[in-house]
This record gives sequence, C-alpha cells and structure tokens, in this order.
Amino acid sequence: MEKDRGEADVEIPVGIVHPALLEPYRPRFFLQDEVVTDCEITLDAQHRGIERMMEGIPVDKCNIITERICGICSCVHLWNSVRVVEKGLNIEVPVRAQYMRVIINELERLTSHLIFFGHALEIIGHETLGMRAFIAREPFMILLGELSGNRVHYACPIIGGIRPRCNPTEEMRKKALTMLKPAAEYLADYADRILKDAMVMSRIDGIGVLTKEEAIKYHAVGPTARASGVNWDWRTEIDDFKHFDWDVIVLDGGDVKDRVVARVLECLEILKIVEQGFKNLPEGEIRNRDWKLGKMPVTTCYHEAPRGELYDSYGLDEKGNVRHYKCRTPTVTNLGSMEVACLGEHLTDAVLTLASCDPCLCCTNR
Amino acid sequence: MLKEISRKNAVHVMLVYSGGCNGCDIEVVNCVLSPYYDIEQYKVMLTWNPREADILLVTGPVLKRIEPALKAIYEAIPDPKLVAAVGSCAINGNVFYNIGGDFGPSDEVAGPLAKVLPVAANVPGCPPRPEDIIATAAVAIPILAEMEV
Amino acid sequence: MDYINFIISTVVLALIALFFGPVFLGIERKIQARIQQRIGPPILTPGTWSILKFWYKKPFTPNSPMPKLYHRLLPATILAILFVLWLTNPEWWGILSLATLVAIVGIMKAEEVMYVVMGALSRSILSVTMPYGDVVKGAVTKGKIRRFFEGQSAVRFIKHITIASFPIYIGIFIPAVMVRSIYLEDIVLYQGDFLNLHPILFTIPGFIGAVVYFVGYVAQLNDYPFTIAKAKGDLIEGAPLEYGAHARGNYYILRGVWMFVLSSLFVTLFFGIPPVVNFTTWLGISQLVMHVLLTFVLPIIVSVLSAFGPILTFKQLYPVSFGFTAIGVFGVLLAL
Repeated sequence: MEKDRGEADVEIPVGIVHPALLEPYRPRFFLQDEVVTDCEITLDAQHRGIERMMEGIPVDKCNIITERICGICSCVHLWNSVRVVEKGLNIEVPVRAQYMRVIINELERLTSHLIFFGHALEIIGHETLGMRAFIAREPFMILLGELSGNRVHYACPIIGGIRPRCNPTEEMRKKALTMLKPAAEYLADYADRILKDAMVMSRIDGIGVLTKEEAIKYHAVGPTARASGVNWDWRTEIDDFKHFDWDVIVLDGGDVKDRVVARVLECLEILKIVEQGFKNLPEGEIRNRDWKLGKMPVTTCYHEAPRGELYDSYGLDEKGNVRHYKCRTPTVTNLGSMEVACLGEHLTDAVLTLASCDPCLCCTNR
Repeated sequence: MLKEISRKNAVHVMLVYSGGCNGCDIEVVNCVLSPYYDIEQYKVMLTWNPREADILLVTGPVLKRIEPALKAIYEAIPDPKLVAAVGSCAINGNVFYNIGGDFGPSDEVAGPLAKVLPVAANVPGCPPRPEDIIATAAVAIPILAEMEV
Repeated sequence: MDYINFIISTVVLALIALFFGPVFLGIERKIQARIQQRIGPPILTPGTWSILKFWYKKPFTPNSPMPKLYHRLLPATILAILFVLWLTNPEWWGILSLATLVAIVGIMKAEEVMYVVMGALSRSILSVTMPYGDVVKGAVTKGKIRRFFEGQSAVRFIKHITIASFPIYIGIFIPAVMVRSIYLEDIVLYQGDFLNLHPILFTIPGFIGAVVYFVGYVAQLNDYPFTIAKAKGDLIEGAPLEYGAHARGNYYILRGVWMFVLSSLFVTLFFGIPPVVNFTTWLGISQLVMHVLLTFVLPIIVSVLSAFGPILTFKQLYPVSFGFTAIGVFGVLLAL
C-alpha cells in the first residue's frame, strides 16, 4: 500500500553541512508533531559538469576524470568507463588482468560498506561501534595501498588490461593472503557484535520500510533493493565475475535493519571472492596491446557499484576523442525511494532512513 | 601567557566539504574517528558547529552552489580563526579546474580555495594521507596561538 | 551565626565546583576514548583548557531575538546550580529552614526550563538560514512555520522534562521516606557521624534509590542514551548552537558544574558525608577530601554507560523512564 503525503505544521530543513550527511544535499522535512508527513530532497549541490568536461578529450585523459567523480566508488567508475571502449572496439582482456580488476574492485566495495557502517552507527549515536568499523577497515586500506600505490583512487584498470604497478609479485600475493586472514576474522566478529546488540537493533528494526512494489516502482537498485526482495545484481552479467563462486544476497524485510544486514552479508561474500582471487590468480600477461583507437558508435555498459546500478555510455570519433559521454549513478533513484520510505517516521528515524541507502551525492550530481 | 597555553592545548576543527569527490573527506574522517590515527590525542577535537570552531578545514574545489554557504560558515566562526585547504582540489582545483575538452574545464567551479577565503595552510595529495593532515594541524596550531584577537 | 565560616565555606565550595566540573568533562571524554580503543585527549583538554581558550576569543552578537538574555541565561543558571551545592553545606542549614529537598527539586526544575528558553532564543546559521536556494518556484510549500533546530530542541526538552525527570525525583525522595523528613540536616544525621557511618546506600531501599538516582542523573545531564533533545544525529547540538566565544566557555562550565553538583548531592544523600569546609581539624579536612573523592564515582559510571548507548528516541525512552520510575516506587514502598 502506498504511503500518502499528508498535511504538515512545521518545516525543518536539514542543511547542507550536517553531521548526518556525509556529502551535501538538502532534505526538507515537513512534520506534524515530530512525525514526518512529507519530504523533499534538493540534490544539486555537487554538480561539477563532468559530462560537459568530457566532450572532445582523448579517451585516456577521460579516465583520469572519471575516476574522480567519486572517492568511495572510484574503481568501479573507471572500470566501467574502460569497459565501454573494450566492448565497442572488441578488445579482449587477459585473464590475470580480469582477476586483479575483480579483486581490487571488491576490496573497494568492502571499504565502502565499512564506511557506511561507521557512518550509520554515528548517526544512531553509538560512537564506539562506529569507531570499530574504522578499525576493521584500516587493514584493507593498507592492503589496497600496497597493491596499487594509493589508498583511494587506485587507477588500476586501463584499456586492455591493468596498470603494471598493480600487478602483484608472487611475494605480494602471499603477503596479501596472510594480511587478509586476521582482518577477515575481525570483520566477522564485528558483524556478529552489531547484529547482537539489542539497543542498536531496537533503533533500526521496523524503521523506514520500503516494500517490494515501491522498490520496483521507484527503481531502487543495489543493496537497497535487494533488501526489499528484488533479486538483481549486475555482477552476474559480467564475464570477469564468472571465474568466482559467490552468492547474491536477497532479503525481504525492506526496513533499515535489512539494508544494514544485506551489506553485512555482502561483506562476507566479498571476502570469499577476494580469497579465491588471490589463491587462484593465474599467470600470464596483464595488458593486451593489440588494438587501435578509431571511430566507435555510442556503446552502453552497466556495472554494479557498491550502491547499485552504474551506467556509462559514450562514443569515439576518428581521432579517438570522447563524444556524448553519459553516466548515470545509483543514488539518484535510491534517494528518491528513500524519500518515500521515510514518511510516517519520527524525525530522527527519518534522517537515519535517508542515510540507510548509503547516498553518494558526488556520484549523483556528477 | 595563559592565552597561548590554552590555545595550544585545545583546538576545535570543523570540516566543510565544498564539492569535490569526497575522498579527502573520508581521509579527514579517518583522522578523527579511526583509532589508528586519532587526532584527539593531539588535543584537536572535531566539532560540527562553526561557533565552536577555531580551524576550518575545506575539501574540494569550491563550487559556485556551495560558495555562499561556505562564506556564511566562515563568517560565523569567532576570531581568531584559520582556514586550511585539504587536498589538491582546494589548493589548485585539480582536474575540475584544469582539464577540459571542447567546452573547456568546468563552469561550476568558483576557483581554488585561495580565491574565496584567506588560506593559512595547505595539505597536498589526492587524497592526502591521514598522517599528512595531522602533520598540518601540528604546524597550524602555533600560528593560531600567536594570533591577536 | 558564624559569618566568617559561612562566607569562607561558601566561596571554597564554589571554587571546588568550578574547578572539578571541567575536570569531569575531561574524565568523561578520556574514559569514552579508552573504551573506543584509542588514546583520547589529555584530561584537562576537553574541559579546562577549552574553557580558557574560548574566553580569549573575540565576542560577537549571536543570531537571536534577545541576545543579551541569551548570554545572561548561563551565569544565572550556574548561580542557581551552585545553590544546590550550598544547600548541602552544614553552615547553611540554619538559614530560614530552606535546606530541604523541595528547594533542591525546585532548582532542578528551573535548570531544565532554562534549556527551553535557550532553544527558543537561538537561531543558528546551520538550519533555516543556510544560504542555499531550495525554496524556489515549484518547491513544496507545506507547513506554517520553518523551524530552526534549536526550536525543535526546545519542543523536545519540554517532552523530556515531563517524562525523563521522574527517576531523579523519586531517587531523591527515597532517603526522605526512610528518614521521615525532607530536611537535609535530618537525612545526614540519620546516617551517623563521619567516623561511624551507616550510609543509606548499603540498605536495600537505599540501593534501589541509588540506582534510580543514577538513571535520573544521566537523564538530567542529557548524556547518551537520554540525549534525544540534543541529538547529534539530527539536531547537531540542539539548544546551545549559537553560543560562541566566552558564552561557549560558560556553557561548558554549566555542564561541568552540573555534573559535579548532582554527584555531590548523591554523596550527601546516600553516603551521609556533606561537604564540610573546616580547615582547622584533620577530621574536617579528611571529610572534605572524602566527599570530593566520592564524587568521582558517578561520572565514571556515566562515562562507561554513555560509550555504549545509542540515542534513544521517545518511543523507546517512555518505557525506559517509566520502568525505572516503577522500580523507584517499589523502593519507596520498601522504605515505608
């Protein structure tokens, strides 16, 4: 049953600088006696005009900008942008490069989910468990720094393969496996600890329910939709992931607790994928140099960012410059569906609901 | 004398994100909320209220849409105050101010931070490591302690 | 009436409260940090040095319809709170028979109401007046007023006053029931001399009273988990948002002194050791030292609890508060 937007006495705008908002956006809540009856979100604070900047630049330079659309999902933006050219010009990627792309992407997904836990627990008010999320996250950041050279913005995929500095030596591979083990155990313990804490669970249980029909109608994507029963994950359509054995997590409650639990269970699946990746990493080349840039019609590509469905499309002209770049990111629709889910809640719970879809506004506004 | 001692022993910082990719933001939050880096042990505490802050940390190239809010928050901080530009975007605009195709670089950027506010300290990096941010705080605090009100 | 002793004890107690209050703020932050597995700030930083630093900042006029009243609320409330401490001083018990629990409860109520006035008078830049173009043609225009965060905080404080203050009042009431008198003098005398004490805390109804008083203590300080009126998750800081420079220092003092005074009241009521200022005998000095040492107990327990508690919203707060009130009523019945 659809929630109605009702009458209101008071408006409380939540400003663009606020501890509950990691990135600037402006929700206006309309309250009737502390219960939210309507909500309007203004989403244009971080518009940088990325698509206009891309028109006419060489495709390698385009990749520097694409990576900096977002700081938390930078790897998947770059990978998808590179895939457009590979799909359009039929460039094959060697298997070792596919493995490394998946490993670094999944490790970034893990750090993104851990920031979400830290942030959500801060909003609930539980600073202690929020800080434990950062303790759990740090070993993975250090591992990523050793694998690729930077803690954020790894610049790992390039057209035809991966960058040579992201190619791990045998020693690095063994070191990565030993670094993963204690970090994975800590993460599993931490996940257990959150799920067993009665006070935290009582704050997030039954809040901000998004039913399956609403999720489909407002096109919610990613873990937000999978927590409401919609069974779709773009990683099942991508060839690189077919080397690994993993499950898609689908829950059916649709409240804030299920959105948190869906991400927790995804973290455990990610650890499985990364461990398989390091164990079975095949030898071989890392870059295919056997191609030429030329005219390419507009090609589209979908991928699974940590927050949902990512869409990139562009074409190339004769000189290899980017034309008609278009990018659409998951939070546009996720925040829209949260605008509906937060109706009928108390103001504190409504702010928590908006944060529970893990909005990434820099992606949304490009 | 008591003035310098108290200003060196308790510093409040406030973070404002003015539009970049938010990678620097996450690293600053790592400084404050992560027990690995823990800037509180160096007597620097995070606040979200400009009336309580001494140092303003700004990340991101300043976008025209956020510029009025940034200036209003800067005006709201009581004297003496300092501004620190964190990350390459705040120092020189990074990719958004300097790279562009047929239409040139982005129209939405009001410029690097130095064009909008008086900057006292710069932290370079894309993103800067948490250790660099802490080192900058250690450099900026003695400047704050000597300022006349 | 010994005027010299009266004046000396009053001034000394006020100085003790003004010194130890900010130290308690630092101890709270340090204990929370150690529980969070990090080093945390030095003990004097969040309290003492912060206050001195704020006093050296340049004063400004806050955004408020009555800025002078907004600033003067703070010293007035600190003075009112100090009266709670002074009423437990034996030198004051002879004056006009005012040293009763009813007077203390009245002062507590005044402190709570002060927050409502504070919230009504503050207009921070961080909420409605943030310069951002969101009220434009085509935007939703429901709602008769656009309310600031501080106004919402004032509304929540009113609810907080009506619901979450019950535990501390019942906690204070239990010693009165046991002693059959509301005079502080009688409650202290009931527990015996300093050298052979039998505190109320070590009896069953007294212990129940202490537990209920502790829950009420956390609610009075608006510390986690009873911090819905000042919630950092949505109201940033609530009513005191516009305090800056010297007023921010005064606000920290207010919080610190309240922490000390309520803990000192606990020691007087439940341990039977009032803060006697008598520097002529060893007995007098040791009584004061013991009193101050025992005031450290409650803030330490509060710090540990607040590190583990999230913000509870009203629908969880009502059952918690009523539950502890019921336990308190049971304690009253036992005491009869």
